Amino acid sequence: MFFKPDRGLFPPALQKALGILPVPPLGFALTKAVRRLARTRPDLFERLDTYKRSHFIIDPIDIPHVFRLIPNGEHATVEMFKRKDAPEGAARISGPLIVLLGLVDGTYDGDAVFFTRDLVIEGDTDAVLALRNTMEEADLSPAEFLGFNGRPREVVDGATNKTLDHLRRLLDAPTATS
Amino acid sequence: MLGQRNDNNPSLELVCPAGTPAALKAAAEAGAHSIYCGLRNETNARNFPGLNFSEKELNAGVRLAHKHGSHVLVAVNTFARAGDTHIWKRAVDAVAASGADAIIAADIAVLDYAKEKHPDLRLHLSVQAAAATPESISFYQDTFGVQRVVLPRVMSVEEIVKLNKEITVETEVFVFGGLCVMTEGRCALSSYATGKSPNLTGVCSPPGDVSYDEDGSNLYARLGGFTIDGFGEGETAGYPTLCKGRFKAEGETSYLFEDPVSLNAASLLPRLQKAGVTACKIEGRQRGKAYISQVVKAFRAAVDAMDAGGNAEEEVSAMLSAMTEGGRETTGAYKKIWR
Amino acid sequence: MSKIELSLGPNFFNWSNEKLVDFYARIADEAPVERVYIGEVICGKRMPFNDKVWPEIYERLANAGKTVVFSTIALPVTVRDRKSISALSEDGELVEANDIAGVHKRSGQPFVGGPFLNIYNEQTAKVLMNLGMETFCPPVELPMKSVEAIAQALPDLTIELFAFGRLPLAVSGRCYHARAHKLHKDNCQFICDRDPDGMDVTTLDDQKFLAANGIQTLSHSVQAITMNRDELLTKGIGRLRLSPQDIDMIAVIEIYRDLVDGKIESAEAEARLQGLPLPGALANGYVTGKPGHLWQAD
Repeated sequence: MFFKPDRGLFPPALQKALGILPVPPLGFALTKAVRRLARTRPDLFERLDTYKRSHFIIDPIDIPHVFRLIPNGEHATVEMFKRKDAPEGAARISGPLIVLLGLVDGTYDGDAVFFTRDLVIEGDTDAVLALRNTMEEADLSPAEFLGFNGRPREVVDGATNKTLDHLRRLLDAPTATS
Repeated sequence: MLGQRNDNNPSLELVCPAGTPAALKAAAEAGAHSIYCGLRNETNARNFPGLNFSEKELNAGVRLAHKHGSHVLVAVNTFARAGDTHIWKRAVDAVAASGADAIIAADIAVLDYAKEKHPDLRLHLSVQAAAATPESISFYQDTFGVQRVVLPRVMSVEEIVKLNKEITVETEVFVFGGLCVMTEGRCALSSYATGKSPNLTGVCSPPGDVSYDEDGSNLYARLGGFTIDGFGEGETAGYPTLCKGRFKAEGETSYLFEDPVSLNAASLLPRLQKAGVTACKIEGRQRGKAYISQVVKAFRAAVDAMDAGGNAEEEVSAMLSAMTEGGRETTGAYKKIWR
Repeated sequence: MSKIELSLGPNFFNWSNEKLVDFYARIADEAPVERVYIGEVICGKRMPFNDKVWPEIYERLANAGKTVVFSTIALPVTVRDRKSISALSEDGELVEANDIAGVHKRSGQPFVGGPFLNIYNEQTAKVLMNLGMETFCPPVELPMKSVEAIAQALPDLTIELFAFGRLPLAVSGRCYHARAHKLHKDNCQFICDRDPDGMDVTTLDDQKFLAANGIQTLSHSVQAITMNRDELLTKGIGRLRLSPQDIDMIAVIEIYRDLVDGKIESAEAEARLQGLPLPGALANGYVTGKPGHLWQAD
């Protein structure tokens, strides 16, 4: 390999390339996905309790954008900002994108990556804990989250898992912990 | 029936934790004989944000567990707040209505209410009641009809053997997971530093009161403003549970109360069975379903091996090595190098 | 008009017999307290030693007109510990139960519910009252709001507040004095006798934090509840408990006597306490449900 990746980080050239691109309408798609989840799994948002109105700043440190998640059920929003325009939130969760994605699908154990400092938590720890325990209960696969069902879900999940797994190895990300 | 899985060969009942419905399902599928859980409020001693069961989820959880042949034990094991005991009474009613197999309680108010209102509901005495002598156990048995007692985590096997000869209720012991070095239910260290404690609010060393502060190459873990541990570059790091911190006494710095270790009594299963113990408990309602599934499978294999009359010692030690792997993956983060 | 009484709580520390006899002789002669708790509540290994002087101390205090109460051990482990609870509880004298075993052995005779019992609400207190509890000394972490709720629900129960001394925070199966001195608990050499107020436990950055006393962990700070007489009466408090420390306890008792007799206000009581060579800073955070180490001048 011609570069030595820094523990799970996207290589600098790729990071730069992503920065030049305009902010994609990813926030809109994610907002729709979270709201869809609120309809199919209202129990998850009940589990978040008062923290569903918390502003979570999700910061994939190896891409030029950050996300603000307000998981307020059917009023949930996910917005994407350039890092320099990033708003403040109740809590901030930072880490390489591949690690953050691994937390969603359960590849990584939150405690483990926290203690290795692959994940950095700032602000309201209780809010983050509520979010983490809710994700644990949600047991989401990437395709399920994006609204695929049946055979397409299997195909998407299979492909995503394979791609992520490949990426993890390529980027020298931490090994799976759960 | 609980405590009598097999009349001819009283084998160990495996009691496994579930912090979420997903974990309950994982435990049932992994072969837990019993699963313990709590309601999502201050009535249980793992009152963390996003954890535990709504009444609806409990009802569904009981149905699912029973389908798998697992029992459900529900912890209502904090001490009711004066003037607000209705919250704890309501929890007892909810447990009774859910069809759960037993309630785990520590507070005399909760035990008294359960006995009066739901005389058919099986009562287990929580470890939070810190009952470790025949006299104290008899008090709960004679006064409230308690049928099982969960023993404090610091008793030796020899002490358990002796105790079981003097009492007629079932005993349940912790075999894996977090370890309290102070007598459970008799510890106010956490509230001294943070205002919140197991007995008052169902939490110990709560995450909301934890801060990590960097000072040069050193990193300090603080609880309620008190430095509980410090880590130099390349030193292992962990969560600042108060009694597992590093302190100075007599001019020396040490883990004065307890080293940051977790319990693994897997190799003692045969001896515990011989000691007359009815059930073995795995700690960790705050742990994820992957962890639960892995630990439960391993312990179930060990218990089954003992039941089959095979070389249990061998099975257990084989399992133990597998567990060590698991331990490194999950709790082992505490031992990895802090960057 | 009701009167607020004072009591001297049981001594937690490993004091020599000579020191114990002298200490209680002074209490008998000079201390304006109505009630004195005696006996070993922390470590069963100390019992064979101090058992010898308790009868003499009992006589001395009783002759001085004090109500003397035997406190039972908080964490019975050995057969000897258990027998001591049975013997004291089955006896006709008033005892303080610090483990539920003592309640069971009391079989309905009057007893004091000590601060080591988990009594957190009026329902638990009521069940125990029906079993003979006449005085209740709440667990130290119990907020005043809860204490008041219990007092209101059970007006016939005497509430005795832990008002002065290092806070008893935890007990354990393990001896921290032995551990700190690299000794085994079974061969501890009674090393805890070196620290008559407990062994200082500080944080890595030298903040005073806790105090170890054998198997017991106490606060480094010194609890001081200094509400004035009227406030205490309003909240339903019947007695204040002052826990022995290795300082001039007569001076401490006199300050509290003046306070509960309405002779001085809180500020003066605090100022006079601050003037004593206390083993730690004053604290009262638990009263308002805050961290126990805090001192709120309110």
